[in-house]
Amino acid sequence: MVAILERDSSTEASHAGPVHRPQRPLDARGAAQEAGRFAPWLDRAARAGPGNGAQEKAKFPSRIYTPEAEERALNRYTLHYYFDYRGYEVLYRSTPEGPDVLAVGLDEILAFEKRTAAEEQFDLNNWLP
Amino acid sequence: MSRLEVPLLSRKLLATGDVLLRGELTLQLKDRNGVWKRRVFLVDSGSEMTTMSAFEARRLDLPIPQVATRGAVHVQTGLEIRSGYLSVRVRGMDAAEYALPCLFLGDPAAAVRSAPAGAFSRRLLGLGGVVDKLRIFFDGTPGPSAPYGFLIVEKI
Repeated sequence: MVAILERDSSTEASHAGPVHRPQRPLDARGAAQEAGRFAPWLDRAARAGPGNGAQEKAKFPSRIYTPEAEERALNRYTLHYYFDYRGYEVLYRSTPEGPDVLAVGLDEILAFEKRTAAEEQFDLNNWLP
Repeated sequence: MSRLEVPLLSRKLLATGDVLLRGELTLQLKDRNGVWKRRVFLVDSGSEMTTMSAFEARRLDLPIPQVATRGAVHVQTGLEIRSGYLSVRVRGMDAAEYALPCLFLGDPAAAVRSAPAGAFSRRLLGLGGVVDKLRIFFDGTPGPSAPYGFLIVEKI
């Protein structure tokens, strides 16, 4: 298995346009404070560089790139952007506006699962680093 | 025949523009009390054996060997191993329960923080003891809601 991480922000310089970053570093504790809905970055990045959803969408017919696929891409690309190099698993609820982050890292995920009814967890998603 | 098709997941490597693909499978793991715990595994045809963190397994109250295997370590991470089994069901398929061999990595009493990012936290579904129970293959033919195709799992 090969793990590929986007380790730093140096590649951003080659892409025109602003790219949103969290205002402060995230770590295991900080991430908890950041839990919540992340502003999707794809709309802004879409016009700027190769790592975007618009180009992705343009490659496929609408019967393939359905709203479900688009939402999945939006949510996962956003999580990749924020968490890829941090190494923590993320528990989130997928929404058309972007991921609603519920827990970051094993400790938070276990705590969330403990306090949340099983049926309420059924539609949740995990993002793996 | 129970069959599951899961869209392959994509992301784009910003530095190069390459599209990276992966297949993930949601398993339900049975703990010591018979309670099912949902966990997502990365399907890895390059892995000879299923692996997960011993620390996480203990936190989930999964049955794992008390003692680490002597004379062997997990090469990729350098972690000690415990050779055991996971009792699993595949979410989205029938209720059949499978006992899948699994190497539990690291010290169950301590989270691993020294391995490369991601390596210690990944749950990998490997081949050993799996492919004789579940036929797993990748089909890159695009389908509805699956631009890069599917991970397909069939009960054997």
